[in-house]
Amino acid sequence: MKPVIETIGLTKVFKDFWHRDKVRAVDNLNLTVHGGEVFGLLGPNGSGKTTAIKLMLGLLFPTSGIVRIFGLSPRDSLSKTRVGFLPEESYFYNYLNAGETLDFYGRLFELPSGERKKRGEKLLKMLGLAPSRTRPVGEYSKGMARRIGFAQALINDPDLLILDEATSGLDPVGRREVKDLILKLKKRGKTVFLSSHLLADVEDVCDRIAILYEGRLIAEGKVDELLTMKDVTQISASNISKETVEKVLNIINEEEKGAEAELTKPMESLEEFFLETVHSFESPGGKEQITRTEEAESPPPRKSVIKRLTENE
Amino acid sequence: MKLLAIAINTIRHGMRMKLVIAFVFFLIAVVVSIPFTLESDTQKGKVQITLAYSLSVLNIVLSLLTIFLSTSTFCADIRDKTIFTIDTKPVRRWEVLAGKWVGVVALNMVLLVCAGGAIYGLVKYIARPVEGGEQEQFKIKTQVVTARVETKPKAIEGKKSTFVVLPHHEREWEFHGIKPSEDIIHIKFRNFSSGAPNVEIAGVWTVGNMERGFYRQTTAFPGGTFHEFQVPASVVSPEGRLNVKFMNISPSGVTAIFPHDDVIVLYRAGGFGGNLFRGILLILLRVTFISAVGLASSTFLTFPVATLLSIFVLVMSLSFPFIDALLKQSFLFPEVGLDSGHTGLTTAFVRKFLAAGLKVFPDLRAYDPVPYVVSGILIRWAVVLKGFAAIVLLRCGMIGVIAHLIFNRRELANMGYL
Repeated sequence: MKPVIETIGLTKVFKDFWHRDKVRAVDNLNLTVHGGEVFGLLGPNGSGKTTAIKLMLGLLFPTSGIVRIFGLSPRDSLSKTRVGFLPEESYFYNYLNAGETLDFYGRLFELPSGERKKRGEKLLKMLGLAPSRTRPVGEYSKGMARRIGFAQALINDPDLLILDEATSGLDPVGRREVKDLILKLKKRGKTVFLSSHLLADVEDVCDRIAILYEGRLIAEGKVDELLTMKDVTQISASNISKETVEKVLNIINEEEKGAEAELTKPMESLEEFFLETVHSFESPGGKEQITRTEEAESPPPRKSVIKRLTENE
Repeated sequence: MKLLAIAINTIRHGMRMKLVIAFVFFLIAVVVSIPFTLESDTQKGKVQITLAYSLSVLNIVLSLLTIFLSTSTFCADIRDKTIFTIDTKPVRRWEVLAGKWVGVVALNMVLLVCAGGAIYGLVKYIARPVEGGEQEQFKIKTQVVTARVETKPKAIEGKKSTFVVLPHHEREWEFHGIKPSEDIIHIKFRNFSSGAPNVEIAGVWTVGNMERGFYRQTTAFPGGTFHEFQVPASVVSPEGRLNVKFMNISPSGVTAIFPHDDVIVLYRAGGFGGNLFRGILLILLRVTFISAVGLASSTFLTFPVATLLSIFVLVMSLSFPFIDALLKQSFLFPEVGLDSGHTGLTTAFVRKFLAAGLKVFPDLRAYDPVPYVVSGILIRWAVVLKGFAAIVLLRCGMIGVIAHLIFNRRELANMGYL
C-alpha cells in the first residue's frame, strides 16, 4: 500500500534578492506517514514544521528532494481532492458568514448543491457554530475562527487531514474537542498529520511523532516507544495500607540492589481536572459548588514523595 | 462550478469594497449633474454634451475602478493568505485567474448596464419635446438620437488627398453603396479657409445625379468644424450612387480646403438604443482588457506596483494615435543607427520602445464609442466583433497565458515579491 505522505530528501532553502542562500528551513527530510495513523510533527518555533507542511501542500516548491501525497505531486488536483488543510491562522473571507464560507469551499470541491448543504449543516452543528452561521467570520473570536477552519478542512470528508497548530488559540475545552475529533477521525480510518509545539496535545492523540530541529529530523517513532522509560517499572494499587507500602519498598530494597524506588500519589492532569471542574460547574446545581483545597499552612507539593529509598540511605 | 464560485466571490469582494461604492456614487453624481452644469445654446448641443461627457466619465471611471478592483481582489488574497485555503483545494491556478477575471468583468457588466440605462434615460429626458422647438427636435431625432451609416467618398485612384477649391471653382465627390431606409439623407462636411479662422466659407452644394435629379443647398460657416444639411433620399440612384459637388462662392474670396474624408454621406440604419448598447459593449471591451492587465500584474507584483503598472498600460493604450504621430514626426525621434553616439542611442531606444508598445498594446482609442454615439453614427456589429477579436481573444488571451505561466511558477507561501 502506498504511503499517504512520503518525503525523500526534502530540502527547502530560502534565497535572498541576489539568489544567495538565506535560510535552510527544511534539510533532507525523510518521512513516511501511513494510512489511518495520526502523525505529529514537533519542534520549537522556527524548526521548519510549517515550511514542511507548505511543501506537502504545494504552497512552496522543494529546492531538492521529493514530496508525494497519495503517491502524487501535492499540486495534483487528484491528491488535493483527498486532502483537508487547516492553516496556522484563519485565512478566510471576512465578509462571508459561516454558511457562505463552507458553501464556497464546497463548490471548490465541486460537491453537488444538496451534498454541500448537508455537509455544511452537519459540520456547523458538530463544531458548535450553528447558532452563529449568519455572522460574518470576520467577527468571530479566535476559537470560533479555528472551528470554521476545521469545518472547511473537513467539507470534502478528506482521507488526509493536515493540521498546522490545530489547537493553538483554543481554550482547554476547545482543545479537548479538537483532540476528540482527531481520535474520532482516526477511528473512521482517516490519516491526520499535525504540527504543534504543544507537546501534551500531541502525546494525547498521536501514534507516531517526528521532531524537527533547525530543519533536520532528529527523532522519529511511535509515541509509546519514544516515551517509555525502559528501565523504570510502575506499580499501581488502590486502598492499600501504609504498612503494605513499606513492605513492598523493603522487598524492592532487599531484592534489587541499586534500584531507586519512589512512591507518589497519582495526579490527574491539569487539563483533566479543568475539564471535570468546568463540566460539573455547567451541570444542574453545579453553580453552587466551588472546588477548593483545604487551607494549608504551606503550599501542597506537586508530588507528595512519601519515601525515597536509595542504596546509600 | 469552481470558476463560477471564484467569480461570485470576486463580485462579493467588489460589492464590499468601499472604493467601488465611492466610485459608483461619484459616477452617479457626475452623470446626473452634467445637464445642470454644462450650458449649450441649443437643445441638440445639450444632448450631445450630455452624451459625450457621461460616456467619457463612464469610460475613465470604470477603467480606473477596474484596475483597483482587479489588482486588489488578487493581491488581497495573497496578502491575507486566503489563497492558501484556495490553492490547497482541487482548483487549478488558471481557474483562480479566470474566475477572478470573470468576476471583475461580470461586475463591470452590471455597472455598465445600470450606467447605460441611466444615460439613456437622461438623454431621453433632455431630448424631450419642448414648446416651439420642433425644428430642434427634428435635428436631435435625425442627427443625434439615431444610428446612421457613414459613407466616405470613393478614393481617387486609390489615394487620399486634400482638396483645394479656389473661389468660383468647384469640386466633386462620388459616393457608392448608399442604401437609405428613410426619405432623407445627410451630408456632413468640414472645410478650412485660407483666410482668417472666423471668415465664413460660402458654397453651393449640388447633390444627386442625372438619373434622379439634383438638390441644391447653400451653406456659409466659418471653417474648422463639422456641419450637416439634409438632402432628399430620392436623389440617390437605385444602385446607391450619389455625386456631391461644392462650388466656392465666398464673397471674401477665400480658398476652401477639404481634407479627403471630411465630406461624408449619412443615412439612418438603426435606433439610438441599439447604438448606445453597442457603445456600452465597446466600453466593456476596454475594461475587459484592463481587468486582464490588472490581474496579470498582480500575479507577480504587490497591490500598489500592480496598480501603477496597469495605469501605465491604460495610458499607453489610450495614447496610441499620439505615439504613432510622435514616431512619424522624424524631427522628434529621428531614425538613427545604434552607432550614432549617446544621443542617437537614446533616441533609437525610445523609438524602438514606443514602436514595440504600438505592437503590444491595443489601440483603445479606435474602440471609443463617444464620437460615434454623440454624432448619431452607427456602431456596426463588425466593429464590436473586431474589437472582441483584437482585445478579448488576442490581447486578453495572450495576457492570460503569460499570467498563468507566472502564477503557476509562483510559490504562494513565499512572500519575497515586489
